[in-house]
Amino acid sequence: MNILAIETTAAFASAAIIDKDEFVHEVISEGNFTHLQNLIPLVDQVLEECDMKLSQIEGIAVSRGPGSFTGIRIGMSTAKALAQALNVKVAEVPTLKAMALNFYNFGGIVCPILDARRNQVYSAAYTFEEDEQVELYPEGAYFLDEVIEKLAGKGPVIFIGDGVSNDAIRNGLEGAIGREAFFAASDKRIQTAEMVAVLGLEIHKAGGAVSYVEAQPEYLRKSEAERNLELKKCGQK
Amino acid sequence: MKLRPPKNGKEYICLAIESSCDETSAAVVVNGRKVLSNIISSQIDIHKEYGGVVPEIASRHHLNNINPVIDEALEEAGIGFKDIDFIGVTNRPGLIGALLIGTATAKALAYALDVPLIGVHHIRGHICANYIAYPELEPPFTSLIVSGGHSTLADVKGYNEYEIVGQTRDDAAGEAFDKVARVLGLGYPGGPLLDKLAKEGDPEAIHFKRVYLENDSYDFSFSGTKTGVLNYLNGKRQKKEPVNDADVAASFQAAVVEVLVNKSIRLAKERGRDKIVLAGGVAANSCLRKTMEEKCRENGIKLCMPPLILCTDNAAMIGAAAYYEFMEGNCGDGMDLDAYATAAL
Ligand SMILES: Nc1ncnc2c1ncn2[C@@H]1O[C@H](COP(=O)(O)OP(=O)(O)OP(=O)(O)O)[C@@H](O)[C@H]1O
Ligand SMILES: [Mg+2]
Repeated sequence: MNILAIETTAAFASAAIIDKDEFVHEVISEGNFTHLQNLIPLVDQVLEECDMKLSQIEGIAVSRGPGSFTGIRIGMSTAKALAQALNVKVAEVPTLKAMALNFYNFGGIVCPILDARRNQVYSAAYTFEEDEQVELYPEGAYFLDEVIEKLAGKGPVIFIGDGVSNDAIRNGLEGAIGREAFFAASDKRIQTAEMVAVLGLEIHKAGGAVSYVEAQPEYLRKSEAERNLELKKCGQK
Repeated sequence: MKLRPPKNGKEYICLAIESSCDETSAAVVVNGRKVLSNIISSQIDIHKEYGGVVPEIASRHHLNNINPVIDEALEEAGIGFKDIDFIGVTNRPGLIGALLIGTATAKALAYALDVPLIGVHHIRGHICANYIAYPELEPPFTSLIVSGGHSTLADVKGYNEYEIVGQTRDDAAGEAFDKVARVLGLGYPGGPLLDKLAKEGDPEAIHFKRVYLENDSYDFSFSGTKTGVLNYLNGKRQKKEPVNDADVAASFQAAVVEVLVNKSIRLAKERGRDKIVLAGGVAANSCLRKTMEEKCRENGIKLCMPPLILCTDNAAMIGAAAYYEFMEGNCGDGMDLDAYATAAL
């Protein structure tokens, strides 16, 4: 099965193809938050470099969030429309789970941390046992203290994702977890399409891919206006 | 790129997409004039609760709605993806998060179907709605574009040649209607509700200022008129005098409409144009339609005003605009097409 994978939830967009032999080829954009402009040219480039035509693509995989709301939507709407035109299915790949895969051989806990602002992070944590990715706690928007509480004393943890580039977050983690805290190098910490392709293929094979109408993003957070309205309604009660 | 012949050998079929504000729309338009389908999924009821369009919520709903809306447009037109000759999409101006959904979708479809993609200016689309409503209409003409975000007078010299002669210096006409409607407690969206209430009022009951600016100016300014209404209401409230809301609505509407109509007629005469073309959501206003009709008749000017469904945001108008760009030799924006919150006409 040839799968086209898309990752646009962070600052740099990327596209990858995983082919019948499970060989993955990836291209990464140089533009910072220029996903709308760059994504289709990236798709075109990765196809060309794989010597493939779009019509040979048998499934789409898209990083469905969490991450930048706008980024998620550019990836998801592109994935949906490609699937609609090509008449193929979409794998909604959990962003944090895919990016953790990059560190499967770390030998401890792998913890993606995305800066969610307003003092929160989008996070989940995994360990890799034999061939299995085991979830320590589910993806969610957490305060840093909540993450620390879940991880302290559990052995070595490697933190990945753009949250690591935020000094306040990094210092907070380092202060609490100390020598057991490791941080992915800056050129390895950002999510890219390669692992979206790997996990996407798994989802397709397992029959978990959905139609272009059903495919959904995962923001992990309501819009600010909705939250404010709910607060207001609670206050009135 | 060279113009390719139409796939069916006779007519160009455009799939058009619009998502610049709170309507998700897709249409199939033949040769820029004949509408085979025009599906509009409105989010008005969702945003009502917030008293205005919330960009993040609008973007989320566009993402959910757009693909089924496209399917429905194709189905109603009785065509499939293979019949499409080119794709037109609103990529400017508007809410950026909302524009992104239509633009990303259109790009992916154009790429996968290997057809040209045309990025369309939303306001050009509003003007081109008239080519659908009036099959004989051709430029040149004078156009008054009045919507939630625009109050613009343009001299339309050709299908793709627009000169902006006047613009609002503060509130757009629709914005002024909405704000006055809000202080009258009419709800959202206020324009149509104010229009309805005004029918029961006396437009000469209260004199609100008509702002014409400099003698030769074609610009508009509605914030002064709006403030006049606020001051009037506050004055009444302080004196504990009763207010006739219908009179206020009718008088405010009359003040805004008078300026819009007089400037439009003056521009048409100055440029020697024998047609005035209305565009945008406020063109649905009954007082504007009636007054403009009277004044045009007095001055021997033909008036075009699209039916209401083509006045507010819809994709068919984008299909019309895209067609004329396509014919002009704009045979496709690149696959690096972007979206823009603001853009010149
Ligand atoms: N009958 C009416 N009388 C007055 N105003 C009206 C009427 N019907 C609609 N409007 C106003 O028209 C505006 C909506 O028009 P439209 O949908 O063209 O604007 P928009 O798409 O939000 O803005 P833009 O096209 O400038 O981006 C609103 O401000 C609404 O209140
Ligand atoms: Mg509009």
